[in-house]
Amino acid sequence: MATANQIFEEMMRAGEKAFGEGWHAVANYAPTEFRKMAIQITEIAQNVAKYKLDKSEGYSPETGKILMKMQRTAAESVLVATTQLNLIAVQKAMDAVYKVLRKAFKGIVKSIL
Amino acid sequence: MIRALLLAGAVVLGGCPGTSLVSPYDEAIDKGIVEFYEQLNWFVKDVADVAGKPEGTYEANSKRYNVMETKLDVLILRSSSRSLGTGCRLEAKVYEKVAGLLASNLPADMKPQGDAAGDANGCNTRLLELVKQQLGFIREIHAKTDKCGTPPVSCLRPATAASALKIANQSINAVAVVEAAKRN
Repeated sequence: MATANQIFEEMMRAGEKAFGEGWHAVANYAPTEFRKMAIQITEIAQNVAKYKLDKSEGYSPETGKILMKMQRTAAESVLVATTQLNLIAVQKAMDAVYKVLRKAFKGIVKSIL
Repeated sequence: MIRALLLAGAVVLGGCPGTSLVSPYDEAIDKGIVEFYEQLNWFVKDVADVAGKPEGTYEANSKRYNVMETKLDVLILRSSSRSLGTGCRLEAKVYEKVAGLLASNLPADMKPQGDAAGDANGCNTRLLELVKQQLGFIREIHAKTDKCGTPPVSCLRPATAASALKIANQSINAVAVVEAAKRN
């Protein structure tokens, strides 16, 4: 079974390739969430294994399957949020540039009219 | 001619609020998702504490799920009223890239939602819908797969509750993080 660290490293590589330049904008959020996912996936496997040894411990494989579906949903949430965080950074940069342009442009217009 | 062009440009820049890539900050969604976080976390821990007892069964708690689901429906309705109903465009773009990288390892559930004509507000709606999906999964576990005691009754086992909360909170956190980024 892959370790949490191996899963995490793989996710980080995939994320970096998928987001390219924009990766740095989400560098704080995405790695934290990917690490949580890697730990949670191994926890699910451990809890199902515990249940198989002792029915009063952990949880059943059926519950484990639903929890894995939940983890895929959480992965989608993180990917969508990451995209949005990228865009918010771009939007803020655009707004700043726009503000400067508008100020400069108005000055020029005033001086020639 | 140049003066006319500059004047036209100034009018455009002065009157246009700028191109919007993301939906605007929404205080109701920001506060609503924090309230939902508190509600869900309190509920799941509470139910896990009484696992195996009559008050911990799904039947005894089904109405509490309805209350939480309704709260999310209100937030989804608010968010979707601003969108064009064409889905989350950027999500589809990201999925194209991720699908290319993961190839056959891409989980079946991870498919692009919406289409190329989607809009920024659609992404907000999608994030909230994913939170609703998480609530539905917890409900399914409580009603169908988790059993406690003798004779076995429906329950949320403490181990399940711990795992489910950590995962669901990731989806809730995704909404909160995006709204916080817009606010700051």
